[in-house]
This record gives sequence, structure tokens and C-alpha cells, in this order.
Amino acid sequence: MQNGRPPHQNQSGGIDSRAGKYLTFFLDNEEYGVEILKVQEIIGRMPITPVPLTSRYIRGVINLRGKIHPIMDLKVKFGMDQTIITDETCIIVINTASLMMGILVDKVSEVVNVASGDIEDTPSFGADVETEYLLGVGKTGGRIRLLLDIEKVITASDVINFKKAAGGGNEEAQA
Amino acid sequence: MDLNHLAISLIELDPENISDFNAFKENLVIAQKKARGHVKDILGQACAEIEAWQGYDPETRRAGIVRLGELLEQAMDSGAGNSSGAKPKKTRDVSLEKMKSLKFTLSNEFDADLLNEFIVESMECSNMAESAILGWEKDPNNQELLNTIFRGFHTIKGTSSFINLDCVKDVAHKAESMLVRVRDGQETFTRGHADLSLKSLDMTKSILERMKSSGPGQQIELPLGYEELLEDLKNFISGTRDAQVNDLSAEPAINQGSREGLARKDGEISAEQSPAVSQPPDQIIESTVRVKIDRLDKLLDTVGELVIAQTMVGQDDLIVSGKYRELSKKISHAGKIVRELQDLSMILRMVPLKGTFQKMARLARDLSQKNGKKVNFTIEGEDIEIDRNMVDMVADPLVHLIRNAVDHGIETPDERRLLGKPEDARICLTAGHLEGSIMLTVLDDGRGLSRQKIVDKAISRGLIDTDERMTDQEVWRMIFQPGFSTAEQVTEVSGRGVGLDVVCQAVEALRGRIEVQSSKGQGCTFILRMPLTMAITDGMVVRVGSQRYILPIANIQKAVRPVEADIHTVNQRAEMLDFRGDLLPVFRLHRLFDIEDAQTELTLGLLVVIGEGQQRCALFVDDLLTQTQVVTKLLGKGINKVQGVAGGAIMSDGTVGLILDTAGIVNMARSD
Repeated sequence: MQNGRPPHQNQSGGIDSRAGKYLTFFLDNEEYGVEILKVQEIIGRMPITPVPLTSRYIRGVINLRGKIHPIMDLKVKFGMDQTIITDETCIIVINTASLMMGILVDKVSEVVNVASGDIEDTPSFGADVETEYLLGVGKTGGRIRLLLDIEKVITASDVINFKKAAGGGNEEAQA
Repeated sequence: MDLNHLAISLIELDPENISDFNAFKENLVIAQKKARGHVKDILGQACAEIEAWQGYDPETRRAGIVRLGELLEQAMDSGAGNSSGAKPKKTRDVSLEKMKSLKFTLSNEFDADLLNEFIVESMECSNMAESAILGWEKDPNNQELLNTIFRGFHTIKGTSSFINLDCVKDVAHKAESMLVRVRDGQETFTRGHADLSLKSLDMTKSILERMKSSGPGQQIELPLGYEELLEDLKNFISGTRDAQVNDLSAEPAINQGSREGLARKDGEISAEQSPAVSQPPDQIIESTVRVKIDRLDKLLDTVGELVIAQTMVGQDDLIVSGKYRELSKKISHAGKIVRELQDLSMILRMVPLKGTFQKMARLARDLSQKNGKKVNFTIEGEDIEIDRNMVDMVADPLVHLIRNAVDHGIETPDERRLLGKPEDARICLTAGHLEGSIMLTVLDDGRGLSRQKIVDKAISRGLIDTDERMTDQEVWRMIFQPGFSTAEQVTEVSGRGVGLDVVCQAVEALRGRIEVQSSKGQGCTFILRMPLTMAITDGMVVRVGSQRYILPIANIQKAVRPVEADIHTVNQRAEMLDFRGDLLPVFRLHRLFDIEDAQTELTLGLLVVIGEGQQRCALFVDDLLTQTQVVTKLLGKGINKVQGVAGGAIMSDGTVGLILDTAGIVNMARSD
């Protein structure tokens, strides 16, 4: 899997760089996927130290074997309510060339293999809905999974509009 | 054996050792057979020369070696290429040389690792030679120092010719040929020698620096003044040689007088210098291993984790309950070992101050020459070790202080004579340990700080109205204000008004403090105190609501539990603390950091006095919990710099604690 934005070619095309294994997780009732090669590990909940004067979506920092990692509350980043920590809450540690960060998710689901034929381009929702944080929409086993371009999500300063895209995508798929 | 090696072995040739001598002769004959054209002729002369020595006494041979050296030099310079047919030599033709672009292509026969090895090794040689030159200036009769200088150039020459780095080799070779005659006692080592040697070392170093950023097969641009230096060296060598030749023929030429005059003057200068305590160069060879710094950091991280894990085991209920005494014993024993391991791993990062001090010695020498002042620069405690990350940061303030001392502190020799002081001024740079921190002092015996000048300047800048009731210390502290310079004129060296506040900032960035002591006419001393390492922060854990933060102890002056009478309000909004008669603004950390569950009643919390001088203020926290030592870490990629937070640290319970940046907090509070 290549880093960066893969070409959004049609699913009918031969090789789709978006195809591959995804780790999927839930934020509320929506299922998202992140490329498995960018995941370093999944850790259970652990004490998070809040950092003052940072964006609301930075939940704080944790100590992971002697190194400090920031933790992002993905739901806040997407404009949802703050994550409520439960027994199922997990931190997915994302490790790419440019960043190292944990993301807080409600529940980790599974690792799925998404074939290129199962990936559809994100539908366009008009100007006010940002969809560039999505690699596409994966449809396997009758479920809709929103495949995230996780580097874009983390580095972008504001993805509030994304919420509409995600919600809208979900509804449309259910319809 | 090519001409280079031949020349090197000639230099090493001991006239009294017959077997060495015969070996050299054989090599020379072989070289002569291999050589072609002009070189062959010259070598033929050399062979004839060497044949003629048979049976002579060592003295004649010594003179013969010198002549032979000249012949070899000619052969190498003749431009016909050396016998082994490697790279063509640079021609001595000046016009040709000027036309050549000042670029040098690194040989691609050798890989980058080897080049790096070479760079590191040659840098060490250069530094060794440089310190020996500086040492010689204090102790001109020390033969051992001269040998060290010579060895430095010799090694550089040898290794650089091995990797075909002709640009360095040429410099080293010329410098070496200059020094050979000194080593053999035919010339005395003079200022002129020292100057040129230092210049050659500078040139070598700057070429090496350039090489660092390029790789095998790439081009590097030769530093400015490269050719001039070679020319200078050549002229110097031929100049002294001419003088000698003339001397021998007992017909003094015109230029000889000036040369001799110069030499005599040089002699006077070196004789006049008060004999400093001779520092025998440490020749204890320690074996070392170079380790990549990120591996070292990883080791430190892991050891830090081990300490935390061990502490957590030790604090387990099972152990604390005291039911299992044997187990507790074993665990506390393991704990001791773990802590020892931590101490050891911290030492790994430490390097001696030697390199930095050497640079300062060089700086003082160059500056005093430029300013026409005579300075006897001494260093002490160069073996003291500090964290390697701090070495470069320490150098900046020291450079400023030494510049100031030479430029402003020290009087000219004439002034000093009038004042009845010795003409040679003293500047002393010392390092020492003090209460777990390191203390650097820069002492000079110059004119000292002028209270009147500082006060005048402060008044004209509107900093103060009058100096009544100000102690000397308070006046001295004002020189650390930005833009405060009492130098009457701006010089090339210092006096741009940026000196001491930069020093002060740099020292504070190292979590240190700076003090100044001065007495008029007697000189002035700057004392810098800083922690041994930046990696470890001594801190106080403070609590604000449910949050804990680490406040560096170096920044804390005092913590007080205020009574109502000490607190004054301004417009019912801002608060002030009456601290020993000073009114300090009160900043509430819970307000700055938006912490909701914190104590809001000042008299129920604590006020911590932080900052220095104008920046002094009282920071309101709920409580002081404990003292701790933590390793400073970055908050990680993906989080921007947070104002008021200097970094994070792993606390003893394994969670992350935030280290506060007091200067940042004060700025934040003031800008609100």
C-alpha cells in the first residue's frame, strides 16, 4: 500500500491501490477502516494526560513504552460528541513516516480484506461536504465501511464537514 | 613506493640509524628507476647525493637529508606526475592555478563510511594539533608539543593522500615541510609558524566540513583563500630557507634583515610571555567506540521504562503489605541494580568540555592579536563532562563573554603599563562542579564594569530614574537587559549591543543562571551555573485540580502560602502578592490552562514565585506534592508546540506528566 493519496480510479480498473487489508472500528454506529499497514498496534484504555491549550480533539498524551504519543479523539475531530471511555474503548496507534499518533475509537471491529471490486468512490455531496479524507467506501459482507485516508485526517486542522459526508454516505447506503 | 611515501619516510629518517637509512636508499633507487622524464633526473641527483654520504658522520647526513628533501620536493612539484602514475600533481604555475576552478572532486573509490571515518579522524588530529599550537605559545620550549603539532599534520597528510584527497594533502604537506625544519632544530618555532599552522588547520577543517555534506564522487568547492594559503606557505618556507642559505654563505641579503628582525621580535614576544603552567599533553590512550546517538537514546528510554516498571513492582500491594519479607528484599536489591544501570546510562551521554575550551582558547588568541592586546589565556577543568546536547549550547555564551573580555574588559598594553599592571592580561576560563551542577567562570583582570557608565546608560534608556539605593549587584544585572551595551563604539568584534542579553538567554535556555562580580580596575568575573544535563529535570510536582504538572526547580524561587494581608487586588481583577516588600503579579495556572476543578481561593492554595528580575511573578497552584527527577521528552509528532509546556516526562506511576515552561507561562499571562 502506498502512502499518500492513491489514484481514485474506477473499481472496474485492474489494480486499485486502495485494495488491501483494513482494520475496521466503530465510532458510534458508523464503521470505519484504516489501512492495516499504517497501524502499529492496538492498545486498551490507559490513563491519558490532558494537555492544556490544545485543540479539543487532542485528548492528551500517553506513555507507550517510554515514548510519549499524542491521542486524538477521532469523534471530536469529526464533529461528534466526545468519546466516552468504556471497557470497549481502544487506542489505535498509527505509525507512518510523517507521524506517530494514537486515535481513540469506541470499539475495534475486525481486519477485513477489501478487494478492489468492493471499493466505490465516495459520492460527491456538493461544496459543503468534504470527502477528501475518504479513500472510498468499502462494501463487503453487506456492510458499508468508510475507508479513511488516516494521514489526511490527522494532519488536517479541521474536518468538521466530514461528519456530514460520513453520515450522508451511511444513509444513502442504507437506502 | 611513490614520492609521497618517500618524502614521508625521509622526514621520519633518523640520521643515526644506519639500517633505516639503507632501506630508504633502496626505496629511492627503486623510485628512480620507475620514474620518467624530469622526475627521473631529479631523483638521479638524489641518488648521487645519498651515495656520497656513505661513511660520513650523522651531522653531515642531517644536512644531506635537508638537501634531499628539497630535491624530492622539486620532483613532486615538477608537475610530471608521480612515479606510480596516480593523479597528476598540481602545477606550481600560478597562472594555470588561477585558471583552475576552485573545485575538488572526491574520489569515488572509497565509500561514504570510510570518508566519514576519515573526516572524524582528521578533525581529531586537527584539534589535537591546534591545542598543541596554543599550548606552545605559552610554553615555547616544549619539544613534545612541537612533535604533537608535527604528528597532527603528518597523520592528516598520510590519510588524505591515502584517499586521494589532494586538496587536504597539499596543505598538510606544505605545513609539514615547514615544520620539519623546526623539528630538526634548524629553525626555531615562531609566531609566523604558529599562524600559518593554525591557518592550515582552519583550511583543513573547513574542507572537511564541506566534505561532510557531500559524498564519494561528488564535487566540493574549496574554501576561499585556499590558493593564497598554499602560496603563503610556499613563500614562508622559501623565505626562511633563503634566509638560511644566505646565512650559511655569510652574505646577508636585503630581505634577510627583515626576516631576522621579525624572528627576533617573535622571540621577544614569546620570551616576554609569563611562563604559564605547562600542561603536559595527556597521552593516555583510551579506547572508545562510536555509537549512533539514536541507539543511545533508545537505550535511555528503555532503561527509564525499566526503572518505572521496577518501581511499580516495588509499590505493589503484595510487597507493600510486608507479608513477604524475602521477596521484598529481592525486589529492593533488583531496584538498586536498576538505578545503578540508570546512572550508568546517563553517563554515556556525557562528553568532556575539552573541545569547547579549545575553541575558546583559539578565539582568545585570535582576538587579542587582532586588537593588539596581550592576553594570557588559561583554562582549567577541561575534563569536566557535560551532556553532549549541551556542549554546543554552552559554546555560544562563552564566545560572547570572551569577546567582551578581550574587547572591552582588557586594556591595551600601554594603558596597563600606566596602571602598573602586568602587560599580559589574564583571562581565565574554568569549569567545576558545584552542588550537582556545573559552574563555568570567565575571569579577566581588565578594567571591570563601570557603575557610572551603566547607570548613565540605564537612565538614558529610561530603565531607571536614579541609582540611589541600588546595590552594585542590581546595577550589574542591568547589563543583561536587551540592547544594553556600554561600549562606546561598535567594533568588529563586539559592541553591537546584543552581547549580554543573548548570553543571559542562552544560559536560561540551559536552565542555568548567570552572575557577575566586578571590581573597578581589578577585573570582572562572569559565573555561569547550569545543570549537568538537560535530559534530566529536577522538578517539583504541583497539583492544580485533578492535574499534576512538573515545575523545574531551577525556576522556583520560593513557595508561599499567602495570608489575606499579602494579597492586593487591582481593579478587582488583577492580583498582586506582597513578597518581602516587592509586589509581584499573581497568575493563576488554573485560569491559564482552563482547569475547572481547581482551588480558586488564593489563601487555600500556594503561590510559587518564579522567574527572574522583570519576569518575576507568583504562580497560583493548589499544592506542591513532591520533588522528582524526570527525563524530558517531546510530546510527540502530531502535536504542535504548546505554550507554557516545555515537554513531557514519564512519571513514577507510568503516566505522562507535563513539564511547565515558566517563561512561556509568564509571556502567556502577560499577553492575555
